[in-house]
Amino acid sequence: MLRASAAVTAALAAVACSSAPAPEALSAPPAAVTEPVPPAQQKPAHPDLSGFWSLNRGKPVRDPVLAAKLPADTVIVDDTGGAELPIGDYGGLKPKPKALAVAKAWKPADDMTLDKVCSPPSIIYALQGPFPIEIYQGTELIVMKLEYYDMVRIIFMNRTEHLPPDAPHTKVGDSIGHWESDTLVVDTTHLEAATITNNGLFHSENAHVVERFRLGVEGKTLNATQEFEDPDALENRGVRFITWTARPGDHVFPYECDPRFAENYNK
Amino acid sequence: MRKAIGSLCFAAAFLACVGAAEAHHSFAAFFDSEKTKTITGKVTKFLFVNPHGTIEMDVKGAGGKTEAWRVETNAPVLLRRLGWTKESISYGQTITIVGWPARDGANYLRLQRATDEAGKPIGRSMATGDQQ
Repeated sequence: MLRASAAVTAALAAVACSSAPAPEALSAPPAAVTEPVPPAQQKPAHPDLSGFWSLNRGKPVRDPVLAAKLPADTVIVDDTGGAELPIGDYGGLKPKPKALAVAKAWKPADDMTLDKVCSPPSIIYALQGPFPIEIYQGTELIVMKLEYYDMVRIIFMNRTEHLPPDAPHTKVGDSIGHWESDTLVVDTTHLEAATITNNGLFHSENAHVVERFRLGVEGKTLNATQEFEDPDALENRGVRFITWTARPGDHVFPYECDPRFAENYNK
Repeated sequence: MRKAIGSLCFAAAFLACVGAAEAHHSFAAFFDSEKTKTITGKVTKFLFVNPHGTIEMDVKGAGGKTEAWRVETNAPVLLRRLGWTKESISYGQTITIVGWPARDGANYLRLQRATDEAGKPIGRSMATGDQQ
């Protein structure tokens, strides 16, 4: 966390320095005038991830730049997109004994109740689903709308510390972001307990997520890694690779979950 | 038995620790993706809501007896992009469904594709492997 905070501070300082005018030397000769670059030709400080992104149906791209950032003990959970892991298969994640006991006791029909069916997962499961996202990128905030369950994430680019420990936990958590070169790095805590693999394995409120987002070739794809760890539920760290394709002009649709779907299971 | 009770106690303690654990629908737990079943019948109900749509049908079984079947669709928010609307299927309409059968043998399918009485596709099919 301290390292992340330091990186954010450094990144913000770098942006501030790069955008500040260089101090003039009072005695410098007025020679070697440089042509000012018109604003339209100036390279933006960071890539613009804004737009509508549709999840790729095939295997996600394993961007080597993002892969190089993964800690050595991280297992790749290969269920991105529409596919789901069967009961008892946690994709290489090693549940701690209590989490494993919960997973083994879990029955899918238990979820099909009016009070549970419209409860969204957290971003750990929601981001990799086959639903599109929409990103609005600002300098102080980045807003990410997920079509899945109408979830909205706000990534605070103007904060370097998370909320106090007693702040509310939610399905989107508390996200702070910074740039590392061309990669948006998002650190999230304060998540409400929710499923990891949709088959009985749950993370706790102490889950910690680090995501990296990076544009692909010509900005037509967006590649990401979503790392997660949970000292209460997991022995090891997990990561999902996720790839979206740009679809300019499109927008996420309202999800508006309707619990009547669950009525069928209680007849 | 003692071991099983111990596991349940662990489970209860963990759930208490993590709070009211959220849960939602799992394709892999309910449906067998290795099998396919086709049914034809009259629609008795069509509910086009997220997280999943529901088509209920009366289907004539092998002995001529009418059986009630239920078909679950992908999330309608995804089906909208494939040409589906809440008017895509009407009460009393005869349709054919190809789907993945329920693991427990119930009269319950997960939609792969649907056609009307003339064999015309209803909407477009989801890509293989899309289970949400």
